[in-house]
Amino acid sequence: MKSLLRSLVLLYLLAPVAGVRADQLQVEDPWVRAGPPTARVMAGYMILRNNGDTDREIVRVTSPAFARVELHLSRIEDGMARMIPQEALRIPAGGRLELAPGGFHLMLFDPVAPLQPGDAVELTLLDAAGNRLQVSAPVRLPTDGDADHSHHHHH
Amino acid sequence: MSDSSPALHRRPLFLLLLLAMLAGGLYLGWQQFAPPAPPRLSDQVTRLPQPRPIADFALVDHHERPFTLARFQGRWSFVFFGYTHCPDVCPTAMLDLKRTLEAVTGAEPAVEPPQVVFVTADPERDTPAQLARFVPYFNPDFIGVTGPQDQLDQLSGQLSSLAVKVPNPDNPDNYLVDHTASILLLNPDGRLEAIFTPPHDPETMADDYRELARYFEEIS
Repeated sequence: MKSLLRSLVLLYLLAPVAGVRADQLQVEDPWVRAGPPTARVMAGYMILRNNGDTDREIVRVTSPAFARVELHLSRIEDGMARMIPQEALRIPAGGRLELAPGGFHLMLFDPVAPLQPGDAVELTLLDAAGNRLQVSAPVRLPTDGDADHSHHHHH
Repeated sequence: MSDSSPALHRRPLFLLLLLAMLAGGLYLGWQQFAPPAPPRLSDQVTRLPQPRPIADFALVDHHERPFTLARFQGRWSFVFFGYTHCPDVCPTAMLDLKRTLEAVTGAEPAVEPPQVVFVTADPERDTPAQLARFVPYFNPDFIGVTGPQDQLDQLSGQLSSLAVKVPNPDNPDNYLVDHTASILLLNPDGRLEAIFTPPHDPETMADDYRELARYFEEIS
């Protein structure tokens, strides 16, 4: 009984640490690409910044606005455009990962209701340790600045 | 004596005129026979040394009207193979094509604008009705094309394009399709003229298109 109490206290003390860890992961400029009102698949983008000193991995994303969310990478290999499902999105310690057109993205399946520019999509990002990160991503059309930079500098 | 003096004065003028006419004639003749300047193109595009003829095929557009080789004749066509259940690469390519078209029509001197044809790499899901929900969203003039697999293969093969269905084991209803990422350009003879490899920069594509259209006009 005493040991159970002790572990409960320990858990309580440790809990805020998880909160701090989540804060070290920051999301910048999240957005969902506006598409035809009948689109059954859409894509979500953002910049993930890891201010901590350990690598972080997003392993799952959920959204009340979509039936299903997968982590994907678009890549051009031998002239073929391919989409490669990802187990996780890894953000290196002190680094960043850009989700952008033509590269990493969230593949959003079956919108619960049609989405238009101006709407917002709630996303929950889960990391490997079970930390949650809530994000509100506006639905909008891409602009010139949204191109995947790594992809454009490849010549 | 007083008669010959004006004639002597006039003679050099007459010679000068003759010389000018000769020079003008030579210039016009040279313009007529000199080969037009070959198109100056970016490294995003590969122009075929000999435009490749395409054999006829029987497909349908998103209005369920027949789409055959004749629809590629009489105007330039950008052709992209993609599928509507593609959230990233295909909408990006469609937007690039929309912006290319805007850049083509916005510049001087005016050239004939191309049509844009989106050919499905996924006929199983991309019915004409499904294409009608996707393709005109980007530009009401864009054309979506689908049809029987063998006819699609017939066209894509001739345009050196591939589509490969990839199962998505965790999510079988939502399979993926790998497809050729290049955008193709067919000339008004309905022949494959050039291939634009990604990444596609609309301004550069528009400049390349204008050069190809100019050259085609000059050699026709």
